Amino acid sequence: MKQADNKATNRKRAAEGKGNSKRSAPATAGKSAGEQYNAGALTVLEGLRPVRVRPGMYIGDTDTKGLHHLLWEIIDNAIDEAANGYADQISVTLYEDGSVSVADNGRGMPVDLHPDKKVSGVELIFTQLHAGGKFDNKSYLISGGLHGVGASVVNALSEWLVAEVYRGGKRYRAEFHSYFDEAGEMVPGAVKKKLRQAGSTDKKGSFIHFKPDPRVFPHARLDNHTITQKLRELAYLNAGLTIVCEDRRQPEGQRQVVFSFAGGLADFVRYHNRGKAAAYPDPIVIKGESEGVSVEVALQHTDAYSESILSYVNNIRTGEGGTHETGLKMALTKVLNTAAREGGYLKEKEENYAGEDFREGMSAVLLVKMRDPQFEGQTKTKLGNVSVKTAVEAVVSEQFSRYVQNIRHEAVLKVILDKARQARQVREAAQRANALARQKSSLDVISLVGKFAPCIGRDPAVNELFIVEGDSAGGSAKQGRDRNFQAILPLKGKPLNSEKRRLDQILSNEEIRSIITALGTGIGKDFSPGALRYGKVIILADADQDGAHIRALLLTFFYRYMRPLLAAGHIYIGRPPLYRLETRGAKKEVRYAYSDQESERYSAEMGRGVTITRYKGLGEMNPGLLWETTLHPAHRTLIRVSIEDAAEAEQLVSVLMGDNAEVRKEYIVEHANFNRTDAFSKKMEKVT
Amino acid sequence: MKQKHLTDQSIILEQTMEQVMHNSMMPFSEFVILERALPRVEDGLKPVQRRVLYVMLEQGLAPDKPFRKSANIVGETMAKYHPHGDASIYDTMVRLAQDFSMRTPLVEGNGNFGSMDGDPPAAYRYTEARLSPAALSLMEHLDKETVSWSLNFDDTRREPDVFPAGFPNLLINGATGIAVGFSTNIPPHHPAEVIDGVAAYLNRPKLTLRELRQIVRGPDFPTGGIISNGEDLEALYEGGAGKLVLRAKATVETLPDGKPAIVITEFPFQTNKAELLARVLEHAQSRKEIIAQISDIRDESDRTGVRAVIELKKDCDAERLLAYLYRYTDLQKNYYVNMTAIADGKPRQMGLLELVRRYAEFRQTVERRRVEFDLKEALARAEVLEGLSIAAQHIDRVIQIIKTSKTPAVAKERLMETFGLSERQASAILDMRLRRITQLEAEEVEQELAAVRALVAELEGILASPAKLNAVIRASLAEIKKKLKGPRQTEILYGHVEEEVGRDAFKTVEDTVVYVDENSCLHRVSEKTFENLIKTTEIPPELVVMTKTNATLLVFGEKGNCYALKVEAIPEGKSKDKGSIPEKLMADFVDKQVLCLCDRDATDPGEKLLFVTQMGMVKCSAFEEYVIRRTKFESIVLVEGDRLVYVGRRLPGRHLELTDAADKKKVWRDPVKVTGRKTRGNKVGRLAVGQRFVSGRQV
Repeated sequence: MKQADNKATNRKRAAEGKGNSKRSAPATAGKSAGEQYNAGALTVLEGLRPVRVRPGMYIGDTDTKGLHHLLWEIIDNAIDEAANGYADQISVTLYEDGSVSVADNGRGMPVDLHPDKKVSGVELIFTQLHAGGKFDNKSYLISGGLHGVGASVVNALSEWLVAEVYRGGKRYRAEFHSYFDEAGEMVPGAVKKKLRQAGSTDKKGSFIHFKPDPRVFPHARLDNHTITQKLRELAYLNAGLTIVCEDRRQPEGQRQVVFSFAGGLADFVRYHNRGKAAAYPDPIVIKGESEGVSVEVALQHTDAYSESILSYVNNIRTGEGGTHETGLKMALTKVLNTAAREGGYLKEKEENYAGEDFREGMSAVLLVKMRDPQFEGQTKTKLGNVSVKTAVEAVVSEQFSRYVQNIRHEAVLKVILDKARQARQVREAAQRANALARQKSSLDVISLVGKFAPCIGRDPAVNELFIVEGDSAGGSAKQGRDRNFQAILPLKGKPLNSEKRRLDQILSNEEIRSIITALGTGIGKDFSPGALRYGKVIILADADQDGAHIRALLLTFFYRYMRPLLAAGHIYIGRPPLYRLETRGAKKEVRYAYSDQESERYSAEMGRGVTITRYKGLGEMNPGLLWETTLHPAHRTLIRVSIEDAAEAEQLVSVLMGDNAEVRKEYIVEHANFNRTDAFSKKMEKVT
Repeated sequence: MKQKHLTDQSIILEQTMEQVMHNSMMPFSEFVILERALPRVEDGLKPVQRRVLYVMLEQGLAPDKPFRKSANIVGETMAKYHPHGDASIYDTMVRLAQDFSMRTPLVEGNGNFGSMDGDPPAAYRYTEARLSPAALSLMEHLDKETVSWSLNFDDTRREPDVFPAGFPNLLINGATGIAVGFSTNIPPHHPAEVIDGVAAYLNRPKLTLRELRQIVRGPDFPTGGIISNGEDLEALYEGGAGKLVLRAKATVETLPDGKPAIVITEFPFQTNKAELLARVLEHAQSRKEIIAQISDIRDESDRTGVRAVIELKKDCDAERLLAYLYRYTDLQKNYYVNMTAIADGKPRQMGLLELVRRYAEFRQTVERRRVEFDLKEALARAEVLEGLSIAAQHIDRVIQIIKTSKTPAVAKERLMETFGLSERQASAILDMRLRRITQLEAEEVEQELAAVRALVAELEGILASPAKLNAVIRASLAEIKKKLKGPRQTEILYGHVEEEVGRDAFKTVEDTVVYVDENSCLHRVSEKTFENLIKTTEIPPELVVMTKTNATLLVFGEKGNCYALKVEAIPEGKSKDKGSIPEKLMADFVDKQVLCLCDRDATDPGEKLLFVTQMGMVKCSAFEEYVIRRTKFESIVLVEGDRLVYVGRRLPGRHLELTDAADKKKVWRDPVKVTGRKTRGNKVGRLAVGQRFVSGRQV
């Protein structure tokens, strides 16, 4: 019957992750489907099927991020056992077949039968959405996962899942799988073998081994680096917890990593600061509780110029900050200003220091544990609970005052206050310099006459600014652009390394000043991202290694001093062509390739007799060519730069561009591939 | 104006900052490390240097040929091999020609190529250059397939990846460079020593570092100078990094007019002579006692050599002053060695033994390839000669075959068949000139053939025997050694003990007076000024101290703090000067008022100090308890809210007279018990409620 056929097709489509909203109406021939919208047209997805139909709702997407989310869910459950004091070791293993397992030595999932549902706790956890121990605050005081939804979601999206529980001296095992039944319907996360005893053991805890279904995640792979970074972070956040990560896909000898940090947050801060010189030997550690909120902070100042606060709520990273960060900052400012007055570091007539003065060069990790956190913000990573601000403030004020008054910490206090004094001086000097620069450039863009070529239009949404390497390229760009909406700013030489300089030194650099003026946003205190004159700020450098360096230097500047522009996606990298392929003779054809792979592909397609020229610099191209391949909005490709992992970005910028050459050397030794030969020349060698 | 814009159909690729930073900096770093700033261990050259020299070789700029305009060389290097700025190419070439930068210059320059004083070289349109003989040795046998080649940047030409390196250039000329994460600083060495070192290694690969160091004694700078920490060389050469202490070569002479002078004939490597002398003068001028010793600093260098003279005053202790200058100016400076070069395609820090080994092994490879190439050519030649020889012996038959063949190809076939010749031989015969069949020429062919066969045997022998190969290398090295001869320039001292010269060695100690005025500001004046001052102003004795310029004072504040302050830190002034506020001289000064000054070192430790507080506590403590090394410490333990009102040295036979807020006076006659520094003292009898003392004195 028609109805049944549709049902089957729909279910099949559902299994593959495709959804449908309406089906054609049943048994009413002649009338159109839309007119027949009654209850029979509604689909009820039962069991775990909703997960397969709309995986995005549960894990965000079905790409790499979503794939890892599965793993995070299972790990979160294990972490919760540890956070509540029942487990002290977690092992994560990546297998060659793409499956992964998580084991903990906690209490082990419940194996007895649920009084109402009459199935074992394990099966309930994995097959029922909205089943879990995290709703009543009795079994879990504090949790970070999807509140009971996680495990079943993972099962639903896995090809198979094996759960073992070690409890009371016995070993239990249950198996689940996702399969197509005879009707072609996808049955996700079904029980393959019910939970039964499978022997005895002296272990305790849970072991979950699952294989994400390649039908749901066709392209994504579990990334060793991503996972180890996350595990490292979790180990720092849960002091005393040992996390073992074994990746069997790696060659022998590089498989296992163990993370265990007795020092918890203090160790985290130390790790975070490893590319910089610490201003005093030991991080300051604050631990306390107030109104049901547990607060833990570790902070340490370094000789860097910017501040970095990594905040977490129940092990979840709050990248957009929130009330807890506010509380921390206010408490620090208050305590330090008081200490400064008392210790005579602030004279009577002098004003208090601003909070940012104290935070210059400070790295801090803040971990708050509470029930019912509310997340706000664009990406839902901002803590909104108002009560947390007072709680954090109270704990930090009390403990930090005590720390600061302790004579043994006098040296540390002196270092912090000296830094604050310097920071204030710099801030005030920069303000004066800024005011001066603004005065000078109150004629605004006129001060850039000669180098900068503005565009005619004034609509920021449409306008684009190209920051171009060198006058030679600048000339081509100026001639090749569309002057209605494309502005060109040529940069002479390599821009200044903003990582190694303070704001006032940066402001005295002419190239940086011209960038700031051209963008229109001001800088430092006066920075207003809303005043940006261009929807796109595009870095256009040569395709060679010095061009790469210039890209890195400019990005460092934007990252340090104009981060909102990066976060909002305004910063782009232009992609000039690398090769020109031309065939003469009967079939004249010219094509441009933007990468080595493209070049090889085109060269194969174009057949024999193809001449390949390689572009070493933008100045080599005619203006018209530059327009067609790189500037023209219909033909060009741009790379938009975003910040995904702020902590990682911070690390990278400070290691690669900062003052510490030793750390940079280590990084280079670890990642550089000195044996890489130039593919293009190798190819040419064969030809000539 | 109405803006018409093109619809934006750009393809947007997303990349994270983390990815872009990594993908930008890594290739850049790799490039700078491998292809810019660091030299290769085999030939000791950075890519830009190699390219300049190769261009000069291609242009045929041998030492016996005329010079050629630098612009020509620079332009061709830039066009053919080095797609970067012209300035860096020219600077590179200039440096290769400077005899104060290179232990063995590789370029001979004509014109102004810069000087030790930092004068810039003339522009490249003026100067001319050509290769030096050493450079030829470095590039010898390049054309014999001895090294690997790569395509240049636009894939139109080939350039060598490394030179055959006839001599160990890396160690002899050294290198400096800053890459990303890596850097290098290899000092130059004496050519003969290094060559002998390599030869010794070839003789016996099990050579130890110690044995090697008997031969390679240490760095040898073209500018000479003295290395004064020779004993640190062992460790330095072992690990490849360490500190060298370089000093200028200076002697003390007596000038014709009888005055002593320090004469400097050699400067530390890579030091700007003019700048150094200017800085010495600056340093001297900033210190009274030093400039007092010096009457003139002159640079007397000319075409005969380097010579700088520091003329001294008649009774100056020249040796001591020289020691002072070594210690506190750049006449002696630290040179941080970091022997990093590219080996096996990666940057690597290496010790002396490894550098020698790698060069020797490379040299063996190069030599082997050269011999193989020569052998190949010799065999080819032998083949041809054999053919010719056979032809000569059977010339009639040969001619007959050729005559009766329809085409050259047929002739070739038949010749090959008849005499069992190879194609090459047959071709050579067909191409033979008739003159070859004269007796003389035929004989010559036989002679040459014999010679070539001998050569082939010799070459094969070399290839078969590593010992013979080594011998060939050693012989070639010996040849080059002759070209690079010259004595050692830098002297190495072992177990040299730094002369002990304090910063204030020349400071004369004078008498001076320090006092505190009513605003608690400190003044330092001469005795004479003070004598005049007290005629008009009264200053309590507690606030005056007659002391010397090298003394340390103790400053007592009302909060119970005591500070140590050096007399020389107080600026000297006249009586009308405002003086210095305590916070300016002592960073940690937190009191409001200075109550007393004492000379820490000149006061008899047996003396006692009296303290009186506002609330009537009196303490007496021994002075020696205050002679401690701290800059700030407690002088008394005060009760909350209390403060000192009087501090002074106890004068025997006097009593304490205390004045309170209401101007009532109280005299304390009882002896005060002596207690420790950090004590409270005793109460001065009973005070009325709210009674506070404001001052005291001994009467």
